[in-house]
Amino acid sequence: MDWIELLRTGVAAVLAFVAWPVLVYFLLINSSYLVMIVLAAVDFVAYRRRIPFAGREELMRSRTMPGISVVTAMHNEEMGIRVAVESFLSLQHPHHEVVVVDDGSSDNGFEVLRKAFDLVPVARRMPEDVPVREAPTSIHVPRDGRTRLTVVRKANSGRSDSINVGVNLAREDLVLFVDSDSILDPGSLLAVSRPFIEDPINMVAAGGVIRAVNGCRVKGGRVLEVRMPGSPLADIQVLEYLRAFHLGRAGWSRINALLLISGAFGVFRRDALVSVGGLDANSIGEDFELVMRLHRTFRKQRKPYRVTFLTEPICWTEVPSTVPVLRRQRSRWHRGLWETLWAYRGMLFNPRYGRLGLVAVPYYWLFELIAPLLELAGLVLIALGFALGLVSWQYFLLFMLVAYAYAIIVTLAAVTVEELSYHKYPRWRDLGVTLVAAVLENAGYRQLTAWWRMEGWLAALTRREQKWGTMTRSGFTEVDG
Amino acid sequence: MTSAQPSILVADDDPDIRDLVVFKLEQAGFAVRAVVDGSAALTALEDLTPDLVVLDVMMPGLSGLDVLRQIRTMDRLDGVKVLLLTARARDTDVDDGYNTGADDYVTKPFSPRELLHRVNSMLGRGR
Amino acid sequence: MATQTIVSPQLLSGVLWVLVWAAIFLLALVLGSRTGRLWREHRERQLLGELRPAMLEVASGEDDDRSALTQLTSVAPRRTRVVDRAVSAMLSKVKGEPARALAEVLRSHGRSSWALRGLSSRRAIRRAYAAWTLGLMRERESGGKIVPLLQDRSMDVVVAAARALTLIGDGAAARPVVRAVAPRRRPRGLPSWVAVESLCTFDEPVAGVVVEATTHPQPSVRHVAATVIGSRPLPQAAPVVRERIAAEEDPRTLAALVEALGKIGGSSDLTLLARFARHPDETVALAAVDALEAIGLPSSVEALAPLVADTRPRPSERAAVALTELGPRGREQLREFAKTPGPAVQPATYALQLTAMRSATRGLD
Repeated sequence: MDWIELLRTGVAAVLAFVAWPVLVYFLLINSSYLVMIVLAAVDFVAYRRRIPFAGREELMRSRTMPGISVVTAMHNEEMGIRVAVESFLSLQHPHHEVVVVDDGSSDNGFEVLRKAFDLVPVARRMPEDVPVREAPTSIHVPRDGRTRLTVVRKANSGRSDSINVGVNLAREDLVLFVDSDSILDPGSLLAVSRPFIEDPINMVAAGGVIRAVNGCRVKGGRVLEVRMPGSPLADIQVLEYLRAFHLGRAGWSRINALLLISGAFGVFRRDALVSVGGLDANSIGEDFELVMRLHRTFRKQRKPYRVTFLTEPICWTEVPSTVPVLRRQRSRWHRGLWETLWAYRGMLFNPRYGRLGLVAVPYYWLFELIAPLLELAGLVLIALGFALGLVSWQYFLLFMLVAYAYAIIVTLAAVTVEELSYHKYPRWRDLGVTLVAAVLENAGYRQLTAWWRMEGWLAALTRREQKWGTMTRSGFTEVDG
Repeated sequence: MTSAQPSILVADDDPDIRDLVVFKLEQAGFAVRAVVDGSAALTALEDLTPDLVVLDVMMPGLSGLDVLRQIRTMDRLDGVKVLLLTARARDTDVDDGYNTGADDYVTKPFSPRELLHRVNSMLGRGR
Repeated sequence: MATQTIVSPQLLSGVLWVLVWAAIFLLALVLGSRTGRLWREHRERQLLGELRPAMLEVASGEDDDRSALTQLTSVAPRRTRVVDRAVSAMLSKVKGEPARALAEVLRSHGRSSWALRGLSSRRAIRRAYAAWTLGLMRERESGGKIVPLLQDRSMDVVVAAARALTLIGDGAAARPVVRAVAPRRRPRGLPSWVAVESLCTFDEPVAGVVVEATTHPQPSVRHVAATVIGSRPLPQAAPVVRERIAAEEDPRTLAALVEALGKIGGSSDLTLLARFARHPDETVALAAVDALEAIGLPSSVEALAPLVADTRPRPSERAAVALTELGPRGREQLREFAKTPGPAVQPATYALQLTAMRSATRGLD
């Protein structure tokens, strides 16, 4: 069996060559998470302590509070759209409006809204500040002429294009993008407006924290009690959101190098959006792409500007609860990541972009984009080494334990910060679930998502047609009464 | 306490302010009922016709202005006076309040005594 | 032959031990902090529940015989922290005599001297709390001691100091507040809205300081000044605003100046504002349209009417809607536009639709 011998020698050589680099990479990526978490933790703990004098109440009565347009697109969402719009309209804010763009729904969604809000068509003209593919076919407002709701109908052209229509019709200074199935806390608009009244001259965009609503008790478009989902797949995602999206981005924001504002919940100054041309309807990672474009545009024009991130958990969204949906999501995210990083490769190591070009963008290349590739390669090699008898099973086990124990520590650190700051999960049971999920994540989930991300990347490289994954909703657990 | 005792509904989500208003008004001899938000206020108004409603403008869910708008569409509640408690100093909000049919407003932070004065004069009670 | 060239097992198991201990430490931290927090909350609720009636009595000014006040001032020393926190929360919600009585509770617990000592503490959070507590007690004489904290290196302290000074309300702090918006050595200054609140709340004299700030080299300071002039409002600043409007380069500050002129200006400003309503920057143009409406003079109608034909949809729509708010003459003008073919038809029609719907709603207009 010569070829086995050959394989053994080959694998042994590769193992010897890459074992250290892979291990160092693991160490670095997890350490970088840990650094981000510690950076963010400082902010979070400070946030708790300054509540008494931070002036939430005063914020509400501030004379300088800019108006804000809540823009959301709907596509075949007749089930939840009425409750969503009602809850958006009832958010605390002295001056906000809601703009719903019906992206060519084929269901009864518009009829539901028409009945609920007594909508009538009006002769409004859409400004073309941001280019759009599909112009509105009709614009509606409630019959009382006062309720600040606008519902736009147009042919189907995708979420980004619909949001752009909403941006055009938005009347206020700030525009908030939110998914219509997301749930916002009552004070969320005030919270997202805060950076803009702290620095009205320079602030152009702010991202917010998104958390999983799966399992929470929800009524009338509000989260009544925060709970863990209780299904391993969603539980693990709660942790991922906590670790990466929450603490990670807060850390980046702290060192002033935030690259990504989630499309599910982000607020932008309207004039800044218009100046960069709104969302790119061709992009898969349109939220990432938009923020990169903002950075590039403003840096090129040498205009002072700021992008920030809010740590208060105020937006709740449903995370995929089935494997196929999660797979599509991750594959799409990674494809979007790759395409945007590639499109903006000019920013990589470009000193003109300061920390963005020298730290944040390289980090995204090295630790976000390449991570699944290296993780899988490392796994395959060590498994091959084991299968070929190059390493003993004890060694194999030890290696895996070390590699993943650090990842577990990072997750635990994130859980600790959450407990010390916002402690949103009141039940002891949920704490237990969290801890179990922190361990389980490494037994299968992590490897699978790494694989799905590779799929997305490969699809992008081979220019395969993107299948638009639609997220199937299981609906919230509404409590009765 | 007689049956002529005027009744007041108070809606505010801040427990400190709610308790304070209730306490002050009860001390002054009103029959007071308190609720925690706008939709609870509307529910309470289904089987209650108070003489006056004290509404916090900025409540989660239905705002004070929303509740006021509803009150003004109900024939049964035609003569009900409404006093808005607002954390707002912006004049447009006060305008909004009057346009929507409020009878008076008090800005926060507030003086409980001033609130009582306003309530008394709105209900035509001497001191 | 198992290869020994890769990482040695000894190293790996060493690392593993460290990691396991770290995990145990974090677990203990999570469990400990949760248990501690729940226990504290429970105790505080219990204590505050007992004192709630007394607190309401004091805060509502019903405590004529001062018995409730005595009850609050005489709680056991180890409980004063909890009580003081609740009293502070209440203090920020009431004013007048009850606020003075609540401040007395804090003073009786030695909070006054605690806060004065804390102003020079090395811990930022302590300095911030100290300033805030002094502010809550509304002691005018401590204002001078809080002012230096406006240049503190911690933003939390700067904000707490400014908000404390706002509560105290002494206009003497106006200049330091303006200075704090654009500190010399630090990249970020006092948040704009906090400065605006302060300058709008302080008693006179602030006008001089604010007018001076309209020519500050930093746009963030000029923006604060413009906003204060419009919000406070400061009518005596009108000549300066007219002058600055011609020179201002930052579009957002320009918009704030235009908005301010809408609040403090008069009929002589209509022409100027109408010109700015044609400004290429839409933020400025929209502010000018709003300002024309805000001036609210009969002659505003003449100034707004031509703007309905602006080819930009947003300013034209805003102008049309503004006309509906300016009485029968404005609406008459719109009906005319709606009949005459041209760019003004659509905005005019839309605005008229809105008015019709609004007046059909019961109890309004």
